[in-house]
Amino acid sequence: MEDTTRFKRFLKEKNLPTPWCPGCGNGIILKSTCDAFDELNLDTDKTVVVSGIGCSGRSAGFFNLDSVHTAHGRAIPMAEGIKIANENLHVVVLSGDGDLLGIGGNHLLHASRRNTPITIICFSNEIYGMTGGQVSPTSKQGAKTITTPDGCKDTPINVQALIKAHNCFYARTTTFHLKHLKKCIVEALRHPGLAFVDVICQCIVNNGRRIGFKDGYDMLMHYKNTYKINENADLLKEGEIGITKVGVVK
Amino acid sequence: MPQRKGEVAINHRYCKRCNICPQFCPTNNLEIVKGKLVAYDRCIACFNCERYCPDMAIEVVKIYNVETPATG
Repeated sequence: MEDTTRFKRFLKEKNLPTPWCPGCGNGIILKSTCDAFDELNLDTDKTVVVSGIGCSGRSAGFFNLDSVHTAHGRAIPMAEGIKIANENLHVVVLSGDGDLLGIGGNHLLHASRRNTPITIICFSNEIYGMTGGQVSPTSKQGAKTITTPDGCKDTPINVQALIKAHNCFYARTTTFHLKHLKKCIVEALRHPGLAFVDVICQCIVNNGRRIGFKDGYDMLMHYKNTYKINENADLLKEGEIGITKVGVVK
Repeated sequence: MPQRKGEVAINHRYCKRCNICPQFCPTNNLEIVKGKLVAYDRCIACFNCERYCPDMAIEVVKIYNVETPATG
């Protein structure tokens, strides 16, 4: 009989339930990450999870592994330090888009330049969720937030170009495509250099309800209708998800 | 009658009533009644609710050897 709850051995069940809002996608990513760890059968003594500040920063506390909850934006330097100290460890960074691309954007740039062998899983919910819904670097043009009531005027950050410029692993996926999400994380963990998985996840309380979604299911269905899987692309276009080819500098 | 049958176990301590699983269920087996998630006996073990639950509150157990009526 197939056991669908085997991933729970990577979780501290006494710390559950998670503190996130009802309908939040962070729990789905947490679960899929544990599922990917389980598929690769990672040694719990040789895996470290690092997270920054934000809603997603709380995820490090649920892992039954060594985990660090670091200062705002400094998840990547901490992960690099751990990797330098002990090369045999699998270092996984779980953090949000505000933490990785906004406050810690410079660190991401330099980590990809050095091609440090760490895996970064970015919870991209297009908002600063924990502080109440301010505009973030990944907010789409025209998105209504509490700091941009007339719609965001700026273009979102192009993470793909930033990562691909240094020839690192880049994958984009959503919380609706669960099998694809797990596959992306597994491939990222297998990649020998820096791997970045951009997971588009729903934030219903601070983002979705302001841009016209009813609940978490509505946002998941929006991802289903908007994003199409495109495997083996050199570069992903708008509205496409997939794993990009490594070794193509554009 | 479906060929697969399952049983849904809900952990009410974890469940936040986000209303994702009742809308994913193809047989309308799950419902929120008076602020509490309830499961009926129409489960076909498709695992949609378990996979999409963000709070790990649902566990589906597949029951094998369900007698199905002969067809044709």
